[in-house]
Amino acid sequence: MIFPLSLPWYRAFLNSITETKFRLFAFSLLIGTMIVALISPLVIPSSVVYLVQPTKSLLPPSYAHIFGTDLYGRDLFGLCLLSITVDLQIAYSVTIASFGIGMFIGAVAGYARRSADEVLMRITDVFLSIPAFILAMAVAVAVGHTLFDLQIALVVAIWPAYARIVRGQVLSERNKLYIDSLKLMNVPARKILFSHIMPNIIYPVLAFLTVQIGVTILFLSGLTFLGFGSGPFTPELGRIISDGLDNFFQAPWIVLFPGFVLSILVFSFNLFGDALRDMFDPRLKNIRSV
Amino acid sequence: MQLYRYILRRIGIAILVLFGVTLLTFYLSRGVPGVNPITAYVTPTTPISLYPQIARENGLDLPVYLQYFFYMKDLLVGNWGYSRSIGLPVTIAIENFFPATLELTIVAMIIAVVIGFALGLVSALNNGKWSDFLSRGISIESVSLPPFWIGIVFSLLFFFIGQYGLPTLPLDGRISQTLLLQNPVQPITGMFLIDSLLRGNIPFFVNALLHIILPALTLSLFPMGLIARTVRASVLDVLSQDHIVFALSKGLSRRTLITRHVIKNSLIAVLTILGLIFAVLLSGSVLVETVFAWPGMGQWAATSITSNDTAGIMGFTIVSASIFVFINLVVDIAYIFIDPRIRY
Amino acid sequence: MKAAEEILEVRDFSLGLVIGKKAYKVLDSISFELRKGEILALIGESGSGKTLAALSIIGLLPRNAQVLSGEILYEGKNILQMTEKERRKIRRNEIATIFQDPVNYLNPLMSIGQQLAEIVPTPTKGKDIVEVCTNSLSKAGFKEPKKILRKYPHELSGGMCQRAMLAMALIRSPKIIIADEITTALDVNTQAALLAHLGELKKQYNLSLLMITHDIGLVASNCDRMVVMYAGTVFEIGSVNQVMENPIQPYTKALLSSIPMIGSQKLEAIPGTVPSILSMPDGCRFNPRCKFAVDVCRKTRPPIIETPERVVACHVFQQAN
Repeated sequence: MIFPLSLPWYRAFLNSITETKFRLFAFSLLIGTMIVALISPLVIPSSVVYLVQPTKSLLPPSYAHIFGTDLYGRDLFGLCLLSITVDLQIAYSVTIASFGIGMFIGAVAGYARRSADEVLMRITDVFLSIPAFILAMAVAVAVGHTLFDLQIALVVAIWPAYARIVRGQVLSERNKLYIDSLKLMNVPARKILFSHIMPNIIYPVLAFLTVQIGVTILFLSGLTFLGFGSGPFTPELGRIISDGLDNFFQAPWIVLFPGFVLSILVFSFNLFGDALRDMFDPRLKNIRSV
Repeated sequence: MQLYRYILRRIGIAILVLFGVTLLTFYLSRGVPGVNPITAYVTPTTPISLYPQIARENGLDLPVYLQYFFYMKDLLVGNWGYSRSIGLPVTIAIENFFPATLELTIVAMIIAVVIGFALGLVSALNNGKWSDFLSRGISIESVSLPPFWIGIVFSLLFFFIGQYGLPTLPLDGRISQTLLLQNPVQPITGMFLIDSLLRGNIPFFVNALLHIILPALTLSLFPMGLIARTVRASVLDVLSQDHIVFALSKGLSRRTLITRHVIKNSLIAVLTILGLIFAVLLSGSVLVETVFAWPGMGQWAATSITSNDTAGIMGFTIVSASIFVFINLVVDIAYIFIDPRIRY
Repeated sequence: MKAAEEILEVRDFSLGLVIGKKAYKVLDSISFELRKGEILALIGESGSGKTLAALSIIGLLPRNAQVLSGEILYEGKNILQMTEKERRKIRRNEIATIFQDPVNYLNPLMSIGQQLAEIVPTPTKGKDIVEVCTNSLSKAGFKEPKKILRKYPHELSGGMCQRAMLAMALIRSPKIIIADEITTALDVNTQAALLAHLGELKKQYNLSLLMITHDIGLVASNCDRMVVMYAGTVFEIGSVNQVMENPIQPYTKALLSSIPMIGSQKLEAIPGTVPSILSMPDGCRFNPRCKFAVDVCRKTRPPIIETPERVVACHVFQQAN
């Protein structure tokens, strides 16, 4: 990203994001989903989740119920919107926690002595050698089934990825010449690491982070699909889909719509992450047309 | 000699990491409060009176930090506990389910690599044109689709196709029950596709192939998107490098340039994420096998979860971790032979 | 006469680059010719557009480049109007290019031998390919060509990589070799050896060389004629001897006087900096830094005055005296 020194970062960001239609679309989509997430709990009563109305069970889509109703007579559309809020809440808190841990460990591992790096990386490797989703499953089995326990499981499963990417970035950054000059000026290591190196690597890490939020949402819904969570009244898309499996062939909308919403949610993060990656690429490379 | 030392060092680290994994699984199965460890070692038929004796045998009466040694001893001996969700000792369960998952994973990976590579290549070479956006859209979409959901959608699709009398694909299992009874194949590797070919049993092969298409396709979607994205980024990166300019100035044709200079240099990037691809495949298998009733390790893991079967989950985790560590080791070593710049 | 001597001619060539959403004229109506059997130097500071000029000749421009006007004639035919296929043929058989920083310009994953074998003409097979490659490597100055075949670029020194590139350039017996700053990354000894060798090859195989450089010393000791470029414009053309002894254009004068001489007390630099593409001055592009600039220099582009042996672009100085 070309940051002319004359522009503050938000201006430069806005300029860059409006440069192509692709980026604008990705950004708007993401903002749109976040607005939905913010507004839904204010507009939709929680009775949508908890009120069982057997008479309205399994109604197909209509004007009253845009997505139809599920087995318990709950409006599927309202359920989906509330789930978006829950998903985003959980995804953000998990991301903040795992990014915090991972960034710290990765930064120290990347900057400290070789021995400290080896030890930290071996520990991280142990966590990394269990495929993340499977690790989340194992931790969830051990810790518990509530949504809060799921968050712990997700943090345990996801922080190593952040540690690894931050470490890689710090490693390549610390060989740059300006670090040498900072060392010569006797700037303490802590300051070099956090006030100089970190801000410079934040851009590629940010693109990674955005995509990881999408991955977290997928993991979360996968876990609730398998049966974690607080039972049938968990307002989570994965759970809704698995609940609807029993009546799948008679009432396919219970499975189709939530899944569709879920994929759009994840898609918006992935798309934006891709747009971010484009923006941060050293763009002045000449790609010869072959 | 340097080469051997490097390989040995890598293997040593891998083993160390595996020890770490056992430590982790041990902690999860014993150290976390609320988990009753005895459940891992008893079958439904074991009388309760025997529990104290079993507890002693597996060291459950000892303090936690001593229990670990018993745990490791058990692992190495082959006593991995009893998976009560399916009523089999863990080791037998693995034996039975592993080939099914292996077969599914391999087919899914082949699909993912072939289509993913093509998508990424097309996207990078046509950078900026509509085919680029289309391929990018497809690859981003395929990493956004929840694998369990898309499997269900496929099932629904083919269910309705079948309803209207059109030829359709089977929706669950690995082989039709009738065929299994009438014309079985003696297992060699446990993988139906290979065994039936080796035994010359073509109807079996065809049936197994039809059964594997949908689940493999579903499983391949996420890795396909990952590969497409990686290939695209890698090809674009290679295209902007200086040696491409020189190659062009030598007057090479477009096709030679792509095949010789671009693809080879980009393959390394795919190798880098091969480990990640396997992790994704292993994780995805849990969800996909559940949806398609595929009798593999993934489905076993799923049932273990719902029944709080610690032995099952830990067994599955250790096997997955071992496979993953092994794949990463192979990739690390393969790097040496592929990239001449690497010094060890 | 003159037409029979030249093998490559650039005529009134202007090139634009699209950056952001605007188009900028990076090469402004440049003209020069390369004569048969000569070594022509294209000299200028960084940012003068010399590499772009070279790339335009072989048709390897970046995606955001646009040809605005002019012609590039090779043996009478306009390269700019050829099909890509024809241009590729020229790149393969007629005009070879070698670049600076050779380790980066060679494919790190292929051995030297493999990269040589790529350009060997197709009918040759097997053992003959090895022979052709080894021949080329010895032509380029390697004492043990067979060993080099199996090596990778990162295993060779900069000078050796440069010679490997040279070998690749020579395989198809081209008529012209364009050398883009090939000595910049080399130490003085290797430089001298390489250039001497190039001179030998030129005589042996009747080549014409276009040497792009910013090193005046190199030009003085190796080249026949020189083209002085600044900010995308050609300011002066002439034989090396004449231009060095009697520079006419103010920029050439300033350039030559900034060379440190033994015994001189001060370093005479040209005040100011080369303008960036994004903000070119109006009129003569050198006017903000020129000692002799007058009003008309700030308004209109300098006229190009041509004689058979000298070309000068200036408002103020228009004849050799």
